[in-house]
Amino acid sequence: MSEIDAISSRSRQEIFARLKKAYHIPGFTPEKLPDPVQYIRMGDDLLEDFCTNAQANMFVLHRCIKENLTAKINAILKEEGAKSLLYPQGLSLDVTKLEVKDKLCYDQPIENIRAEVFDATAGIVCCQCAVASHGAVLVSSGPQQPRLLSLAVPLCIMLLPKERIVKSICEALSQVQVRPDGKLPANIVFISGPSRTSDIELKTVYGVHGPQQVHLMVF
Amino acid sequence: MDKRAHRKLVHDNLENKQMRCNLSAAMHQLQQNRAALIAKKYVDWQGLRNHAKAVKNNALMDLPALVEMFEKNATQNGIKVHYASSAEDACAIVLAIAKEHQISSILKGKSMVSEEIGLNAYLQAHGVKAEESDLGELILQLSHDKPMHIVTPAVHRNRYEVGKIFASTLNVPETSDIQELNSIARTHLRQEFAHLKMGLSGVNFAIAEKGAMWLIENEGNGRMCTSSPDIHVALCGIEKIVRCFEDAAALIHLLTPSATGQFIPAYNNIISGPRREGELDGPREVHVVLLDHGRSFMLQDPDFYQALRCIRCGACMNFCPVFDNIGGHSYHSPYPGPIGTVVSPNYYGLKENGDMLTFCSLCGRCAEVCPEKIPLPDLIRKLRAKLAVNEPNLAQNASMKAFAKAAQSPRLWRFGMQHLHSFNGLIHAAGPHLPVLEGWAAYKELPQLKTDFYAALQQIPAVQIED
Repeated sequence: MSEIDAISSRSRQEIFARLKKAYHIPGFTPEKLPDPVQYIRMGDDLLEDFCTNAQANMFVLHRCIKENLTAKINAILKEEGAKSLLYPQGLSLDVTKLEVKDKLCYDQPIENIRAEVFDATAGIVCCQCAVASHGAVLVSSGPQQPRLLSLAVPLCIMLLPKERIVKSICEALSQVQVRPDGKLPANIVFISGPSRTSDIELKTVYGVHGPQQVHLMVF
Repeated sequence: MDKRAHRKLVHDNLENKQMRCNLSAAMHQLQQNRAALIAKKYVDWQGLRNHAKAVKNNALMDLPALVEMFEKNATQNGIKVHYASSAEDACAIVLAIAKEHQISSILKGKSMVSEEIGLNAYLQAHGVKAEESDLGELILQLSHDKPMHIVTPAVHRNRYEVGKIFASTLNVPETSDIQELNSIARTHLRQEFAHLKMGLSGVNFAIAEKGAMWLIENEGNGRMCTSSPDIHVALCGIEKIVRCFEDAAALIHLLTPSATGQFIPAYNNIISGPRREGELDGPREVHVVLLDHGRSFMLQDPDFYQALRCIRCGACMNFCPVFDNIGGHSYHSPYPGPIGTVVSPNYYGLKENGDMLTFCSLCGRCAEVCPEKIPLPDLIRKLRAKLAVNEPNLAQNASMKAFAKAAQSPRLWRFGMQHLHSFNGLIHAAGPHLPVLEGWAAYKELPQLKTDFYAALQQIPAVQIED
């Protein structure tokens, strides 16, 4: 038995022995609880709620139609002076039409392309769904959606079809759980704008270890 | 820490004007942020608090089953689940994981549990370097300082102080521009993230039904520590386990709003396993260390189990009128403020951390703002009662007994009121040297007792005197 297993199995025994003597509130029965979104003040239009909250979270919001997506993205890439673009496999855009010097498809294990991923200036991410109550988007990991794509690049461009906006965090989570194999994606992230910190004098600055700017294309 | 040294620590902090000024400004800012957000975004904040309390009570009342359920489901997801009965056990497991992979340096996301178990010092003593990646924690580590607050650890340092710390430790020009200070930290850590072998994190909620871990953060350092390295190790107190996603989501609805007035953190990072077949990044191994360290004993107690509802938002300290004057360091524990006063003696023992019980003024603000409705002042009083049994103060006990006797006897009480003023001279001469009274006399003038209080009382029209 390894050292870790020895400590762990002894600890497990000790902990469960103590947990057996746990206090129980007399007559306690677990309460059934509603979706907590009911405590949040919301309007009656999910899209409007989402957009207001997303902007408050410092997403740079662009509302457009699908046909204009490429042109809009090109405008952002140009304005921000992006030199290289990291994009996922199976992207539903015509990559050849994106105007940026270097394009790199994230199609290999990170071990092979670590430097390129960490050096890229822009990235495109597809959102699985979005939450109106909080202005957050949900991204789940998979072969076509590597984790670092939404994290390592300073300029992140996120694509969100507007019919994927749901009301609450709980609804979004129940959507991700609908998978044929019944398994959750290994990593699910709700993203609410650029990375930030307020650790010095509570003054918020944007762009720490994740993106500095997050452009959200709602189409 | 012995009493005399502890007293000196508190007094030194009280005299540290810079610290008190920085801290007080920050705490008031956080109070205002919270109030403004609640007014703007919530239709029923009190209802949400009740909901959040029910979520945690539901979990705590079924904790043995939920711990087992989490273990089973997490294991099925490919997460390696370890148990640690004590702080030492947890440290030893983390060290063994590092040694097994010949790793001599790890990067950490913010984790209160790692502070609680003294992980950095332990690893360093065994030849493994642990570097903090949260900006606040990094500032502290570089200046050999300790967290002031559980949510905003470096809140007692202003931009000028941080500029000096970075200039003297990171070989950069001195600046007081917050944006520049941030980019210094970013550059400093960027390459380390890119070549990270082992990352460490805390856990905000562990979801029993899914075998998943839910982490929140703003900087992206937490996601870097959990998705860039080959190995991710999470430290999780057993009380962090809730039943389902909906339960964790409910707590998200009021965690950062209570903490800093932030509606939702930049990242809600939910991890339910290592890199899957076909995935291109993510850790190859995910470990979770389930730590007890006093928690299961708290769960056995009909009062203290309530403190296990804590979701570590820090609102109790943001609102504590003692905390912002003496500062977090005065508590001499990783957990300061009202919740610290309750959990520290439970984790480390009354003997080690009993002193801090005297700080609280029982004003009750913490209980009013606690999102989990933990009756903190009640629990502090109950711990004081325990302390009074463990370490009786004979003089205090004798005076309280005498007082109790007089308070229950009209004859004695009346006699005392009539004649107390005769002892005025004696009380003023001897008071500063008498037990109990000396504490008062050290800071305040003893009142002049010059009247027959009983006679004066009889003059008040509305007072009826019964024998």
